[in-house]
Amino acid sequence: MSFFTLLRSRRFWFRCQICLYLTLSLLSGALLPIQASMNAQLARSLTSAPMAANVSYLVGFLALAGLLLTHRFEHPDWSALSKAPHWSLTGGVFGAWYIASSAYFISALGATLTLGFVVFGQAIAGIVADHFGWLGLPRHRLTPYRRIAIGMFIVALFFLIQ
Amino acid sequence: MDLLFAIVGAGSAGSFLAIGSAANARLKQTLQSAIAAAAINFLVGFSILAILIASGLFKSPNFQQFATVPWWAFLGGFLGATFVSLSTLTIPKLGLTTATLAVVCSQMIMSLVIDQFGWLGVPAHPLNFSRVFAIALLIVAVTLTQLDRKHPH
Repeated sequence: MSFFTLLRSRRFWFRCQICLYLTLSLLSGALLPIQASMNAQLARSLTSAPMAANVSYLVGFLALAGLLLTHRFEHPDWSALSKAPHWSLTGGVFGAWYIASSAYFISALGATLTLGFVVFGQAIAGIVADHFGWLGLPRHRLTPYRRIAIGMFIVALFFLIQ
Repeated sequence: MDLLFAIVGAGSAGSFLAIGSAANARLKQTLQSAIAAAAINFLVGFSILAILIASGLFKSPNFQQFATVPWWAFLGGFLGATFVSLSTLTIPKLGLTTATLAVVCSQMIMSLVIDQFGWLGVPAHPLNFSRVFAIALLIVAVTLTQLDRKHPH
């Protein structure tokens, strides 16, 4: 296939787009341990993990509200808010549950084992929701490749908690 | 502690995290703004935590200590906000599994780097082989979930 045919094929551009989103996803994940370390310092200083999480949420909210007020980004369609499925508004509740319970389990189980269980829960929820197309997500069936990926994931967890 | 309780408790925290980000991605579709969806997410999370703290369920925080906190420790919320906004963009395109695994992967790599150099007040831990191997496996697993991807119709 010549270079120009490649550039014209939809498949090629689809792959490019996926790689772009994958890179974005990888970059955003790298922010999380930095945030976790900052929060840990905040929790040490305030001697309260839930309070540190709460301050972190407040700072995040203020930053986002500030960005919205600049009107430099896409204008949100606030009138559609009443039409949003109710469960889609509860993302923050799940996040808060994660923060509060992980603070509890880290003190009981240690950071690595807690991280291992959390990551496993994430993978299972992701695969189940993708398979059935729940939560308004596009459907991605549990293929043999995905089964092997789960297996490798479990092995990786085993090595992580070594 | 009962191991089953721990697995259910910590495992549910992880699955709730994935469900929460999917819920947020759905909210972004309705509002057509990643930043507005993330703002609502943070406002709800803040309110829930404020109620939990006010209910006295946790030991009360030491408010006098606010002045002694290093300034950079307050910046975590900015990174969280960036992460949540970006995840509302990537989840609908990649699917929840791939997006989650990719995040987990780079999370591990970055925490390895922070541990290695002891940045941000974290005690330094040198690299160890089994963590590097685990990360390599995770990267292969992420690639595998993408190999069988259907092409657009």
